[in-house]
Amino acid sequence: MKRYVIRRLLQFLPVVIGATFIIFALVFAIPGDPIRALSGDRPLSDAVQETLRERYNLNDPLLIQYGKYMLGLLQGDFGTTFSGRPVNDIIVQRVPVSIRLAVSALVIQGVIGGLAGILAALRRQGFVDSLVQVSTTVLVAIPTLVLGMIGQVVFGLHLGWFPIAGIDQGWYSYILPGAMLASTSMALVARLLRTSLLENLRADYVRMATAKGLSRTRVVGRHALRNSLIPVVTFLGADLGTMLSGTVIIEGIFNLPGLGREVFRGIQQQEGTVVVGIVTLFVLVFVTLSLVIDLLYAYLDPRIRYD
Amino acid sequence: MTGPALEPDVTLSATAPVLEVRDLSVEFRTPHGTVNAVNGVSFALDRGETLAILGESGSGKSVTAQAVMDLIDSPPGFVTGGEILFHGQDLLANRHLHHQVRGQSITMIFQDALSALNPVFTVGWQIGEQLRVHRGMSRRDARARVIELMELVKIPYAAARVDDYPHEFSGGMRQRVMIAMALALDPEVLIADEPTTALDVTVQAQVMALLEDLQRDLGMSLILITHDLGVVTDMAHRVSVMYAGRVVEEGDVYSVFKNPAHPYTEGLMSSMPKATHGDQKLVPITGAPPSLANIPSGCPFHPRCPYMRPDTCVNEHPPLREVVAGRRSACHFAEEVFS
Repeated sequence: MKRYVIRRLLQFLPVVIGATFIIFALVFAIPGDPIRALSGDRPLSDAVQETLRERYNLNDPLLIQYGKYMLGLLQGDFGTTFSGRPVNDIIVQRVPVSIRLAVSALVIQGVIGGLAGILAALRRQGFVDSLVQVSTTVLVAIPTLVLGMIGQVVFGLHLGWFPIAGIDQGWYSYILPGAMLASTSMALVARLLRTSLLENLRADYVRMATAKGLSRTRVVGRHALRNSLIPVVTFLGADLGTMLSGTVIIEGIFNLPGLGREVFRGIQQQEGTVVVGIVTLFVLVFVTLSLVIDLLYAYLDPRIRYD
Repeated sequence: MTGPALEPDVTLSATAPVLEVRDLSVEFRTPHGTVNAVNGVSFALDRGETLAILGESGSGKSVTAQAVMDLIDSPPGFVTGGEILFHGQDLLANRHLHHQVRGQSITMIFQDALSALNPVFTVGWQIGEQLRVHRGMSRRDARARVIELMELVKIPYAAARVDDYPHEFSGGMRQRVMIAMALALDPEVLIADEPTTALDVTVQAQVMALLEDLQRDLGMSLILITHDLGVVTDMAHRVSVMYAGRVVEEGDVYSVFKNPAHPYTEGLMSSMPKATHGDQKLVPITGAPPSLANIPSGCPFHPRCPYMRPDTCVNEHPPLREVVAGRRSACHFAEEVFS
């Protein structure tokens, strides 16, 4: 196991280098001149423009720019914005918002999606099952962008149950955006757990557990559920990317001052350093969480051995 | 958990059987029609006795065992009639008692130990689970008892292997783990459903020998469900032969196999190779077992039977009746077959 973790950590290097380079190159390739965009209607003098270009290494070729950026990154420096603000500051300030959003979404998707899946499997072809089947189909079919806006209008504006935007009301502010971010994955978790549990309830070891005189609760809750979680965890690992890109959309819609909104704004304003810095952070988070999920997977299914 | 209902009635148990099944019927209602898996099966099991239930796949032997354990998925399966008496009390009439008895007084082992053991828990955890749940033992006490049980079923290095997972054991060892699990609560009756079918021949013999020793040493009653005549002759005291969801012949193993009183049993005997007769010709039973959704009229065996008489066998269902003392057969012409 230890060797596996070390090997996986070593694999981080090419992934991080490759991912950051692609992002860097894409931002580099955005048409237009960031300095001219910065100056707006009143053009800056050529000398000032030249100084700025020099400071942000904009005259260097792509590879040199990238190399200089990565050198800084190795020392924990995510770069500075055109207004002179360190990207590190932005990250430190925005991270808590994004983490709260992600945690809300994960809790909603795990608890509601999980419960829906279990209830549907236990009452197969009953009312709950049909309800879960229909509602999950609807949720999966609607893109996060559309669903986020509908949710904002219905639950925020018309019903007034949740704040429409911002984070003024603490954790309560995160419920609606968290639910909208979770919706697609929640529906998939419910369906996956339903199918997987139904399959496991027919397994021989469930019959054996029943024959051992164990209660139905124990047979389902300990024996069948534990096995049914394995594909769900696999799915969550593969779904991390959807989750991260979803934060960009949801933070934009609900005006949450998190990393996603900062990336969104960075792309609009051609703030290369902000975009590359935050997306690099996303990549690091993604690879780390993938590793955690893989280790969790091995814990859930002892037949999997990584060595 | 052990209520007064579970205590064996001492006055009765001296004479009455531990477990008695009377006229049991089970059907499966499928979209394609009703499948009559078990049609009026009766048998009795005495204390310390080994009863073999012999039959081909689809004869209803496993479904009978599942009904005794209340393991039939309902729907589609329904027990439509009969009684399952444990120390004289009908378990079908008392679901609560049935579930108390299941897993504690009557336990069961299955054919394929790999799929019957939960892949994500250690064998120690799975064997000890019942001790913790039903006996309220602490983790530590349960673990000590689990190691004893694993030694009882002759798993080598039990103390070192208690924390291993099922996939880390060989097929024979997994079967032993399942036997240990079934023995954990000192059952009175053990039902073994094709316990060795999935194993290599040499391992089969070892597991059978183990079951035989345990049954004798622990004084359990054993129901052995099998299609293997060899296993029946080696292990069982009595045998019930099943065909198309019915018991067609019953008696002590020696006399049944020496002189069958039902054409189906006779057919089974002559289709089995015997090591002692090198030049013996095998005679298979003609035809195929009937579909349980469409059982032939009269005697269900009549389309395959060499003794068949058109009018009687096609129209009249033969009841299971005594042919000579201790021998019963469900054939209109049992005396003719017997002599």
